[in-house]
Amino acid sequence: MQTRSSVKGILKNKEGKPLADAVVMIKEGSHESNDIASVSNGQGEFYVSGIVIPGRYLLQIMHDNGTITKEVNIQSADIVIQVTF
Amino acid sequence: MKSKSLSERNGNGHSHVETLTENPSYEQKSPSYDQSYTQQSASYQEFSETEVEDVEGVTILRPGEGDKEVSNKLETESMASQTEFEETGFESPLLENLPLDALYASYSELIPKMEAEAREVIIGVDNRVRVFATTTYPWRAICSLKITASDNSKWIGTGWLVSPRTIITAGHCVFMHDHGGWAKSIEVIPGLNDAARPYGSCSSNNLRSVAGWTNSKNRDFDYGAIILPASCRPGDKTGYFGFGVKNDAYLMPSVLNISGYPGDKGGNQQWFMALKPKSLTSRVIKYDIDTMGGQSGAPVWVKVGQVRTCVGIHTNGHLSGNSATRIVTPVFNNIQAWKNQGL
Repeated sequence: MQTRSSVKGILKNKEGKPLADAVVMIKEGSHESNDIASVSNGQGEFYVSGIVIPGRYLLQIMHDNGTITKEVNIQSADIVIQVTF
Repeated sequence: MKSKSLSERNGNGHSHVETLTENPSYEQKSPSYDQSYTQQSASYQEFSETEVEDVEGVTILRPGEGDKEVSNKLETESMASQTEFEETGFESPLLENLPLDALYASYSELIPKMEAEAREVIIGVDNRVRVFATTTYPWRAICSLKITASDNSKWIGTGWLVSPRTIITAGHCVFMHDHGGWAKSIEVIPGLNDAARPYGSCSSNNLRSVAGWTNSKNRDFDYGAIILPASCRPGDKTGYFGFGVKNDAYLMPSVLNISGYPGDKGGNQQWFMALKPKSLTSRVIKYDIDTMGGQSGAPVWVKVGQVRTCVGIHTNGHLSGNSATRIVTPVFNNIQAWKNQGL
C-alpha cells in the first residue's frame, strides 16, 4: 500500500559527530514531492516530508562544507536515513 | 534538480517574459474553469456508487468542502464576500536603488537574468538565475520563510505578500501533517539576500489554510497564509502582488514567472526562472521551470506591462513537471479574505 509520510534522517560528519544547520531536500524522486527543505538540528536530525512510500529518492544535502547527494530507497516510514557528510 | 534539459522545454521562454497573448483577457470567471468544474461535479454524481479508497490519516471531504477556511486561531475574522476575480497589486514607491529601479521599470523580469548571467555561468539543465536586486519590486515582495514546526523541526520555504501583513504560501508550509499540524512559528523575511534583511523580519503563528489540505492532505488544496502581527507591516514598504483567476486559454500561452528561496542555494538567496506552462488541470499548473526544496509557496505570476498577477502557488517538484496550486475562484476568495485580515 502506498502512503505519504515523513521519514527521519541523521546527518553526521566523518568523525561521527552530528551536523547541524544542513539543508536537506529532494533532488529527484520516483514520485512527486513537496518543495520544502528540512534543516538539520543539533543532533543532526532532519526529515524528508510528505513523500510517497515506497519510493526512491535522491537527496541533496547542503552544508557549509559543501554539497552531497545520497540516493535512498525508502520501503517504510520507520527507517532512519543515515548520511555521512 | 527537478528540471528538464533546455531541448525538452516547450517554447522559447528565455527570450521574453512578458505575456505574449494577442488579446490578454481579464475575464472575471473562466468559462473553461466553469466547464471542468461542472464536469467534475457530474462525474461525482454519475459514479456515486463507487467507493473512495481509504488513505491512511486522511479525511475525505465532500465536493465543495475542500476550500473551507481553517485557522489555528480561535478568533473569528470577517470574510469579505467577493464578486470580483482579480485583485491588483501595489507597488510601493520606494526610492532606494533608483537607477536599478528605473532600469527594471523599463524592462522585463529577465533583466536580473541577464545581470546574473554576466556574473556566473549556468550550463545545462539548471536555468535558474539569481536575483541580486531584492530591494526592487517585485522581488522585495517575495519572502524567505524559516519555519519551526510543532515538533520543533526546522524547515525553509517561500511566501509572497498580498497586503501589508498577509503572506501567501503553500499549505504544507503552515500545516505539516507529519510534524504536529500547524507550525509553531514562521519567520518571514522579505527580500532576504544572503545575510542582508532589507526589511527586517517578523514571526507569526497566526496561520490559515483550508480543510482540503488540513483534513484531506489533498494536493489540489495545498495553499495557506501567514498573518503577521499588527505591529509588523512589511508590505507597506515592499508593495505586494496582485492575484487573479485566469482561464486555460489565457494561461497556456503565457509565460509564468517564479522566484523563491531554494535550499540548494542555501535558502538565503532568491532565484528566478520563467517559462510557459506545460499543462493545466482545474486545480494545478504544471511547468518545467526549475525548482528545488525551499521554493514551496513561491508566487507563480504573469506580467503584462507593469501589472503582475499571481495565478498559482508553487508547491511540488517532480521530473515529470513541477507544479503549483492554481488560483481558481474558491482559492481567490480565500486569498482575498486573508488579504483583508492583514490590512
